[in-house]
Amino acid sequence: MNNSKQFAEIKIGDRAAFKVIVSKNMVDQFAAFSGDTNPLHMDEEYAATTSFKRRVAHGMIGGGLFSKLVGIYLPGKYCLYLSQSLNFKKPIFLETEVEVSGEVVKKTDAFKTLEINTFIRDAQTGESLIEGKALVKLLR
Amino acid sequence: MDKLKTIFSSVLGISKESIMPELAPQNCSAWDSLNAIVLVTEIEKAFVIRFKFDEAMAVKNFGDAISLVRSKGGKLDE
Repeated sequence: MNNSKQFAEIKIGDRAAFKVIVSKNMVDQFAAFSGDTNPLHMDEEYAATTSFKRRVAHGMIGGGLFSKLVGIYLPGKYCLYLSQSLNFKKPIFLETEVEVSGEVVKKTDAFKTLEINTFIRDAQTGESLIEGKALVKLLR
Repeated sequence: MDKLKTIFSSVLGISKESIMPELAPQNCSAWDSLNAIVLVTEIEKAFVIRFKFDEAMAVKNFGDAISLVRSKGGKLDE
C-alpha cells in the first residue's frame, strides 16, 4: 500500500520495512534490462570457481529495492528521489529473503527534504548486506 | 569558520583553501541544485540550526552562508 504522508506529518525516527526474496528470476530480469550479464551473477559453473561458490545477485538490485522503500513506504506517494549512497557489505545470494528498511534521521524544512538511513539485512540472520543513505524531497 | 569550510569542501569536493566568500554556483560547477540542498542539510546538522525556505534561497555565495549561520546563532569559530 502506498503511503501518502505529507512532509509535515513525517517525524524523525519514522521507520518502514518490507521483506522480499531476491529470486533467480529477479536476477535474470535485472541482467536482461541492465545488460550486466557478468558470469558471477549468471553462470553457476563460473561462480562455483570463485570465493563466493555460487551466483551472487547484482548489488544494484538492492538499489532498486531502496527505490521501492522510498517510493512506496517512506515517504511514499509524494517522494522525489534525489540521491542514494550504497555500501555493499556482504553478497546477496539467490533466493535469500531480505528485509529492506529505512529510518528518517533528518528533516530539512527549507526544502522539504528527508535524510533516510537505508538498510538491507538477511531476514533470517539479521546480517547487514547493504547500507546507504537516501535523500528525498516531498512534493507536498 | 573551519567547520563551515569543511562542509563546503566535503560536499562540493573542493579544497578548503579555495573557499572564499565569493565562492558561488557561478564559479563552482559542483554547487548545483542537488548540492545546494545537501549543503543546507549538512549546515543545519553541524550547527544545530534550521533555515526557512526564503533564508536558504537567499544564500548566493559562501559569504552569505557565513552571515546566515551567524544570524542563526551558529558558532562559527568553535
